[in-house]
Amino acid sequence: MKPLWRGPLLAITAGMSLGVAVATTAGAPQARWRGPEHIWRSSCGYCHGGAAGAPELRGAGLPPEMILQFARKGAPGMPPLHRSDISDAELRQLAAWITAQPDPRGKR
Amino acid sequence: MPGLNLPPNLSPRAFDRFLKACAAVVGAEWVVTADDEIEAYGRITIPFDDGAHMPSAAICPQSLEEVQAVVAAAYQESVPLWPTSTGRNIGYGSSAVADRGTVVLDMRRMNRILDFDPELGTVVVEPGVTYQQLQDFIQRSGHDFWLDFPGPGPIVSPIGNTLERGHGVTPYGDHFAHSCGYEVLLADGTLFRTGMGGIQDTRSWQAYRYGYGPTLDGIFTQSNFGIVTKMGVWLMPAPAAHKTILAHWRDDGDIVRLTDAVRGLRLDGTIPNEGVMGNATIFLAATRKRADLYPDASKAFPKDLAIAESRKAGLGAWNYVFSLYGRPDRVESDWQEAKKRLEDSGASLIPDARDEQQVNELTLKSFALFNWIGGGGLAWCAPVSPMRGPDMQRQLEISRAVMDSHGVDFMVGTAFGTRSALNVMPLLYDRSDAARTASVRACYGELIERLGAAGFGMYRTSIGYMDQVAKTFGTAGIEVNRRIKRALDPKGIIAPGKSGIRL
Repeated sequence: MKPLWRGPLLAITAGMSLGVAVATTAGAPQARWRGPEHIWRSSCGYCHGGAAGAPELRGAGLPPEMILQFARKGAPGMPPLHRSDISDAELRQLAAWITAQPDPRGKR
Repeated sequence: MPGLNLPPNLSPRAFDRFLKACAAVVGAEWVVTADDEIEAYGRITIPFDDGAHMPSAAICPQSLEEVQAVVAAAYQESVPLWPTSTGRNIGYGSSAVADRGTVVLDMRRMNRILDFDPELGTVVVEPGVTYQQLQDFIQRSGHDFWLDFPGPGPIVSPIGNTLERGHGVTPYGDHFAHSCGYEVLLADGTLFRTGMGGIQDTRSWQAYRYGYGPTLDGIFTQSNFGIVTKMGVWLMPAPAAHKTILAHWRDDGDIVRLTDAVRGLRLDGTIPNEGVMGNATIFLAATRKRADLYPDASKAFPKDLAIAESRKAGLGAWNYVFSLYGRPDRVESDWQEAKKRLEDSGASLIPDARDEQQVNELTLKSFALFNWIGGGGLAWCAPVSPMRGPDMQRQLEISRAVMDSHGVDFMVGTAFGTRSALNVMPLLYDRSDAARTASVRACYGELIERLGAAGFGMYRTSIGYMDQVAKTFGTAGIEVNRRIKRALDPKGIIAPGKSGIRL
């Protein structure tokens, strides 16, 4: 059995070279995402990228439309993703990317 | 159809005027009224019907100027707004609203990091900035600062968690204490900055919290007096060395001596962070499924079984993970001191433990709790205890007795301050089971009452219990908050019901 203390412990729970305060951005909001891999690494992949208890989505052969629906609606234990978080276009790209990925465990 | 779920006391015509005014400001696509999208905003994990806390619409501005225009329209038509940052106050209400029909003001699109001072170690962020975004930004800058984040760090925001007075697990774990300088929009359109922020061309806004005269930052946390649109955050310089330790105590009754030992180490600074202490059951829930250990879903998970399973895994009835930070010689010296005093209190120590959150590594492993039972139900019950052994034992025993009587598993994760401990208890259940949902709802309500009668109060609660918790803090407090509310938001348009504060 895996020792608990080596497993997940629960918690309840720009380049600046000058040492001055610098306004880093102005005007329009930043584009939050830099492509589907960035979204995966920053959000979905924390749970669906091999963590115990959440299904591995890559290589699972899920239709992109199903991924899109789960993302927008959420699921037990998974918060929904709103349009203000990820646009329809970004979500479609993400779903297509996930579907196209091989199973990282090498399963077919 | 938005008219089916109007804000309280608002005519369909006024609501329609408000939505049109918002569409003219933020664009029609960012005035959300479609049923499926609104239902997603109203999704909750707490033990109430989704419909009870369902918003009527959501407005998604992308700038302060747009927030100002939306608030002006809301003020004009007396439309209540529920401001959210990333809207992931999971276990406390997510992005749902206290009073059904309130409009969500979703500020997720406001995601700019506006200022970074690598000398002072400060940033200024907007509400939609996540800890992930901020960490990526800092790492790209080449400067070596750490963040302190709560369990769902990658997907939640510094502003949202700080305004809830949330906690993390490093020496910067008290997020409110490490925030400095707010920009606040009031219901009547007044925009002001707390602390030093009112000084023209100041370079001190994120350097000194208190400003001049009354310090107002606190009244905008867990409150509905204004909308915080910018906030300064202090960053922790990365330590030269660190060491994470797991201390565990064998028996349930050890809670008294361990609390007193940890208090001493926290008060004199030997242990610089809150860390996290869990009982046996919550540690099991991080890696196991309940049904594999105890198939009877009608009764609370037995304490003795939890402790026995924990011991099999090399742990105990109480398990405390903390870290030491600083120069290597200081870490070693603090380790020797902590080791001696914790062992004197009966602890066994594992000196090479690991907790990502304590060393600036983002993770969503706390979501593993949802796998214990399944079904997505979670409500955090979070009473404060003074850090005296007998008080801790009393509070935890009352809580366990109440939860046992409702067939709810007793779990607790404790954040040790220096003089107080936050005993954060997840009430887990299957939301598809109406009877269990009702049991958990009743259990939480009884916890508030029983703990309140014993002199204990909550540090934070969910949208379903805000009025009840406010009452435990006394009518004078409710009335003072009401007077401030009437002065700053006379129409009551900002977050009605938040923390039990109403006109």
